[in-house]
Amino acid sequence: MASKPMKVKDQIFKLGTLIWICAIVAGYMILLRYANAPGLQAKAPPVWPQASQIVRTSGQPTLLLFAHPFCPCSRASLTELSKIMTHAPDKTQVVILFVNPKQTGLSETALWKQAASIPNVTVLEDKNNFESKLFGALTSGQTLLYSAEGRLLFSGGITSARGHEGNSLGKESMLEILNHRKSNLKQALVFGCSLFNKEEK
Amino acid sequence: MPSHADKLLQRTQTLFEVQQKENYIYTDRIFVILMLMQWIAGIIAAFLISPKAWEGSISQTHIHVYAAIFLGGLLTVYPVLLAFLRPGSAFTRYTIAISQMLMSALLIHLSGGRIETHFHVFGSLAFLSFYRDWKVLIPATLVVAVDHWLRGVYFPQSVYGVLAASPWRWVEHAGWVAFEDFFLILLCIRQTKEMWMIAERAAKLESMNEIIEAKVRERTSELTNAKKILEEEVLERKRLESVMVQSEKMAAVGQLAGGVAHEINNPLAVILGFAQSITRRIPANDPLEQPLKTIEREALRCKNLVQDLLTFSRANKTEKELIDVAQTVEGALSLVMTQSKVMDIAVNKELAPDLPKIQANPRQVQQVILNLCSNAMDAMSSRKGTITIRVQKDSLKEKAGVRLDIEDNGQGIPAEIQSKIFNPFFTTKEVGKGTGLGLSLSYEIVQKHSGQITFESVQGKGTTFHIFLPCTNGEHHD
Repeated sequence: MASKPMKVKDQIFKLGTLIWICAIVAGYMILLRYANAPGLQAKAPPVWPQASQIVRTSGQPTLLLFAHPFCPCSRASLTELSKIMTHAPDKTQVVILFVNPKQTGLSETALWKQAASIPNVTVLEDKNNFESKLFGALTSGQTLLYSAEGRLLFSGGITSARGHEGNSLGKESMLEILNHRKSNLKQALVFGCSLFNKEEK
Repeated sequence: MPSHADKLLQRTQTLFEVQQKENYIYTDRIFVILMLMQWIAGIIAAFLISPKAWEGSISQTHIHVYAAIFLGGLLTVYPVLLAFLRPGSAFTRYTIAISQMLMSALLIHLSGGRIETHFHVFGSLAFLSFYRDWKVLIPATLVVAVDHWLRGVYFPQSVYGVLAASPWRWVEHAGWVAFEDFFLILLCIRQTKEMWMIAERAAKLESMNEIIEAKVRERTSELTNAKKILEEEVLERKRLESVMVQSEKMAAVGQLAGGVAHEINNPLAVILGFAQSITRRIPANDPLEQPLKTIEREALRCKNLVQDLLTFSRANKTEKELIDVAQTVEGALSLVMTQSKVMDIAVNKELAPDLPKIQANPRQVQQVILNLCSNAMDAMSSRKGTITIRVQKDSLKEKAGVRLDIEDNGQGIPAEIQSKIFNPFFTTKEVGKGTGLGLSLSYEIVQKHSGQITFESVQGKGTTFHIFLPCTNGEHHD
């Protein structure tokens, strides 16, 4: 009889532990689902658009990265871009374009500063979202690679998940293309915040 | 009955378990602090790294902030509670291990998968080895392996960066963790062995201390006994010295008194004889009648004194025979009763039935009883009193004998004169009433019988004299 309250206590304890485990599993699942939910893919033109105001260096491939100035996920994209830069051939033109949804001083943002610190990279403000719309970019971290001849070689993200550093399919494909190695994949998932409001898409 | 080796093993096991439990509780507490700190750090990191998620110009709180607060809270609060509710238990330990590794996964996620944050996994494993329980590392490693395996299955690009990862890629990741585990397990086993050795040493030390303490107790007891014997010997020596002094004093006084008494006795007998003869012959109301009666009375008193002195001087010349103490006491009491009735004093006697015969001079023994009873009656002259005489079998210093207790409820002997009462001619009675020889004579008689006379007295309550007389004694019979 004396052990009855103990039994009840033990059962409550076991139930609590089970609820705790379930809550943790659910929490992780939500977190992973969010992290692995890709953004909208760009509808990039297969050939470099003549309307673009970006001045291309002749004889060099051009790498474009579109970013939202406040997107925390894009920090990983810039980190991965800087890693690509260390492994890519010197003769690659790299341009990072920041949209300016709040019309504020972009140069003061942390991401702009991070982008500007990558050597041999041109950082530009995409005024009125002209270039983003021209190239069909919708998600921060969208990367496009055009050959020296203006042909689209790669379109996608260079991170494995939202804001997740490390190797990714996109990054590896990009490096293969840049180093003139064959790559069967020209597209990869892109992870990041949306560049535009819903009504602008 | 367990052997010494079994006892030692049992004690070692107990000490080891106590030490192990203390270490578990101590490490639980370290993890309480660590987990609370890393929870706070996770929240700060989430606010700094990814405070908001954006959609164009619209922002909302980033899911990482919620994850840091709520998921981090789940991973912290439950194990912390266990550390307080079930400190030192295996369940707490394993829960902490699992939570800690899941916290590593969360922090890695919050930091955007930065390679530096992966050190949290290896640091956590090192921290877990503080438990010195290698089994704790197993669930921790399993969490890492299962986490990577599941994510590899469902979100492969999030773990390995490639969509079509090898199904065995998780083994590589878990392998590095197992690599660290290998050293930590070795460390845990070694530390456990060291803890056992420490416990074994402590048990041996305790055992040695117990043996030493037992020896110390034994030696102390021996010393205490030796001291007691020594003290008794010193007391006995002092008593003997006192007896010797008293005896010498008595002998000197006895010799002197005997000589003087002998010389006075004859002229005194002549004076008394003539005084009595003249007193009988003179007519009544003769003017010389009163002076002659006074001469007769004083001469009688002198005669008694001389008799006492002669008895005192003859105490050495004691002829002893085997006597029945009860009979001797009865004889003495018949004399005491006559006077006690006049003085309205009750006399009780308690004679044990199995009294042995003793070698003594019956007249002298009676003399002692008479003297002590006479003193007792004098002490109770101003009130109704009771004298109790107890006689029983006793022994002193392994000598069999009898003990006579003469107890009165008189006024007692004042403390300041207790040391003098056995001195010859010492008296507190009025002049003419006592000679001061009663107690010293009694003392002398008891001594010559190889006995012992002592007393205890409480002023206002009464006095008890204890006399021990041995059955036989080595005295030379004169």
